[in-house]
Amino acid sequence: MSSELLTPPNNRTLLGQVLTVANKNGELVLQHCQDCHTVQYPPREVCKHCLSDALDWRSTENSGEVLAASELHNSLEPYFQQHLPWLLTTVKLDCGLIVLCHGTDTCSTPGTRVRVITQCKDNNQAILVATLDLESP
Amino acid sequence: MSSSPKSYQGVALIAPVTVPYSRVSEHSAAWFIGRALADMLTTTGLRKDQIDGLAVSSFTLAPDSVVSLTEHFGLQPRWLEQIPLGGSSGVIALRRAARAIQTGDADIIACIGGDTSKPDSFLETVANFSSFSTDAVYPYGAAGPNGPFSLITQRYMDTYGATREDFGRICVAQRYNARHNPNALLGHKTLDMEGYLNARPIAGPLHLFDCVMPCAGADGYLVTSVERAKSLNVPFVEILAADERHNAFSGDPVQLRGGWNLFKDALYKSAGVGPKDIDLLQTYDDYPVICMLQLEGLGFCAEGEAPQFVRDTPLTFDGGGLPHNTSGGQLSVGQAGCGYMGVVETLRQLTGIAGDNQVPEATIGMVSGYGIVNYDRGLCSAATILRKGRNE
Repeated sequence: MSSELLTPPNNRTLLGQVLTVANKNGELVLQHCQDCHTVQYPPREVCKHCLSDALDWRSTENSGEVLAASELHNSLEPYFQQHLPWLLTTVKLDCGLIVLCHGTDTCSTPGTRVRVITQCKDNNQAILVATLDLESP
Repeated sequence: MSSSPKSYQGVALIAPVTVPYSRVSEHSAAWFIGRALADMLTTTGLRKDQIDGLAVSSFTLAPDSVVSLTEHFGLQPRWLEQIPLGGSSGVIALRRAARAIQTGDADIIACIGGDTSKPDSFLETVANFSSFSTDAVYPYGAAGPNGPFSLITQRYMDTYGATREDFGRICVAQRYNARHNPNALLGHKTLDMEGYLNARPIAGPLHLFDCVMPCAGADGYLVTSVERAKSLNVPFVEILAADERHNAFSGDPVQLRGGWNLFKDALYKSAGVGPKDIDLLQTYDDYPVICMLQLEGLGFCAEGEAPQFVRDTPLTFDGGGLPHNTSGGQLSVGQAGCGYMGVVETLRQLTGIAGDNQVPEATIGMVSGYGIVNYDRGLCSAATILRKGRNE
């Protein structure tokens, strides 16, 4: 199989697919609870705070800070094996959420201010990507 | 303040068995669990129909479950439990089974953790580990648990000044222990600090010898009453205390502590002992940083001080410090069976049948469990303090 044909894993849950649809435009769209306004990630069936099922997908303030980053040198999936080392980053969004993201070289130092955007690569499944916040002082 | 668990008095743990590990196997998980049960019967002289309870844990038993196994093994139990709590399952099975013995719900319960391993079974386990993992971890490099644990390890190093050598001390000591355990898959290979440090990189600060090797195998033990253990004339171990917590400290941005911190004081109080009385400790060693969280969470040192603790304290079975993961642990024996290894090794040590890695005069042992990285951290924490059974 030529490397062009390899695609990322495509086994997401229904909620994971909804996340992809909601994030087609690249801005960060996450679940917001209509009743208590909790924002949550990864996607859930009910609100993690009040257990309401009235959940909206809404644009979310995407600035945050890098907590930890690492280069993956090993992957179980052929798609990622051709892209090693692959950058994995933990970001704390200013709203308090912790998100695992794909990282970029410029934002692998803890404390770096980033904006988390979404990208749909190769198989059109959205992933979160941490990018350097150029507007941060 | 919540109440502490009531006493486990009167409960005996007997018949520790291990079905030797192998890197891969053509057998299913049921073979490993069934052979563990057979070994227990041989060890004790019990008949199969005297086993009236069964608790199992496995990542590779599906689509079968514990009740499938009753038909597979020809058992007719009146008590069944399946514990899907990853590396905390071995300690938690002990807790569940002990209560069933105390209430009379069962007389003799077999607790077994067993897995098979095939070329693709680890990928299947990881790709479908949990909904959160499928949607929010696997699409991020598909590195399995190495991904989240590389971030936890990096954060721990940045926060507390731990170095790779500190993690290496844990791994090298365990390999030394494994060289005295004929069942350790990697026991034939020596590992020194230079070899540890020069290993190939896997993920961030994690290198080859920081990562467990998934394999096939089983560990198990029987839970019954002290009275019954004495009548069987087998050596036994008693439970001084045990507890568990799940999804503890969920507000911590990166996991640098686990649920042990919430119950350790009550645990020691119930047991009537302190950390200095522990003759040997088995922690769940999926990665060495998690051993450090357990050393801290169980009070062997303060939070953030495990790096200094492992610099100061020999961790080998015969080093005169704190004998730790005395069989070699998962890092040197292999990973199968959801944390039953630590319980079984402690039962061997406390009944004096450990073999070449025997800790002299071991009387009190502690076993800690940790498991289930649902998203970015392990959710389950458990621990128990065990004592060599007294015959008077």
